[in-house]
Amino acid sequence: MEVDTETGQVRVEKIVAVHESGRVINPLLIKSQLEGGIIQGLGFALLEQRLVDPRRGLVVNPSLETYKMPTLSDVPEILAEMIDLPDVEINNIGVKGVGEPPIIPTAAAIANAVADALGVRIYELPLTPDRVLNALESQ
Amino acid sequence: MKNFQHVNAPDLETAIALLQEPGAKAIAGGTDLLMEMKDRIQTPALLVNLKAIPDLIFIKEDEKFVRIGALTTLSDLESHPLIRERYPILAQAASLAATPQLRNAGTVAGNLVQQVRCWYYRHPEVNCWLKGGVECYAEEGVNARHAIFGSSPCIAVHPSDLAPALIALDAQVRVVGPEADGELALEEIYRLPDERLRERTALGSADLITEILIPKRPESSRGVFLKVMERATWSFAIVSVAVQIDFDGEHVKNARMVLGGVAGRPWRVHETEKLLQGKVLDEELAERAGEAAVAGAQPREYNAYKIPLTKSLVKRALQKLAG
Repeated sequence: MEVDTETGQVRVEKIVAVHESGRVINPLLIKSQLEGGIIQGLGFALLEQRLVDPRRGLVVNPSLETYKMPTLSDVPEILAEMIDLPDVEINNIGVKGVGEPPIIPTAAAIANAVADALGVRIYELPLTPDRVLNALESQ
Repeated sequence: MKNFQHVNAPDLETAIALLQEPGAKAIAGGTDLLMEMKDRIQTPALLVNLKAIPDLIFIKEDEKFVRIGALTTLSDLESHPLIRERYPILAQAASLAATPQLRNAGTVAGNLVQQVRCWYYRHPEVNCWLKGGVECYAEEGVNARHAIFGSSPCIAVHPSDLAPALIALDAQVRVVGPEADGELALEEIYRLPDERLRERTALGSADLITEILIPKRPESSRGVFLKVMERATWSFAIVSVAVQIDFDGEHVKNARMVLGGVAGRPWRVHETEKLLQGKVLDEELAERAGEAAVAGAQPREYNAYKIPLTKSLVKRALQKLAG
């Protein structure tokens, strides 16, 4: 990924993700699940936030215009792979869920990459330009 | 959405007459107004559709100006060879606005008079000062996207991308209507809302922009528009900068610089322009221009980051023109 240290913008170039989710029955479906989850994780890391006015308890961005999600232009190259390892303990066909798991490590991986690039860690998501610039100013 | 009547105006005279009726509002692309109507922020009784008026869609040139019809869409603007060749600053600004779908519908004049994006103003349940209420909720609230310049009871920023670019090009607008009539500098139509008038332009509700006139620039003129967004596309500017410079060899002969996203109106930085005058654009001057552009900025609780951001963006724009 790339951080523009003058504007605070974070641009993810490539995400590699490998998931162990039991027996692979439909590889195309799993790959799509992984890609979709990774994009949600990208939104979690960089964009999505519920903004609340602390004095009034008012959500100030209750629309898809103000609650930002990734667009196609924000999506990096994604390399998603799975380890086909049937889990004989868990159920009789050896499968595990793959709906939410790809969201979970993605944001953390992006935050770690930003910390590595900047030399300063930001403890709040999403990593918006204001947070990145404030972190750089405080350095 | 509240019920309303819809009339296709056959010509400008009829449109202006209809717009003087109570509760009347003009509509063209509708990309802004319809959202406000759905959220009941605007509840016009009568919509006067301007798109039925002939001859307001064009991009052409005469001896002194390139002229853009008010109903020309942003898509037409960004792809027109005359604009791309002569005024890349304007093609860049148009292409960075909204999304292709919105640019196919939104008109140039509509973009110039669009309403602010302040999340309190846009909130259906908030009656903020700009909507006729008693206080600005953003002043003590979440003001991360709000103004660092200008004094007004409303601290929302002007959202247009085209306006800074057009003001940097010294554009004029032709206006017809009961309150304003004739050719005005685009810069002059903007104002900061105050207690007397909670409006962002000096145009009355029945005044219509019919065309935008951009003076021809000398061969040596170069311009650039830069915009920082929250994501890669489909986002209003956090900060934008439009700068157009006429060069005399290596030296700056005349510079116009306008910031977006930092004030309640497109924000011209006269002191920075003066600083550039007569000098050779280099790294050090770009740096100093960035400093000068944010002089006098007054950040609020959540928007101080706009100061280093504006500084960097001004510097970067000048580096691009130097290179």
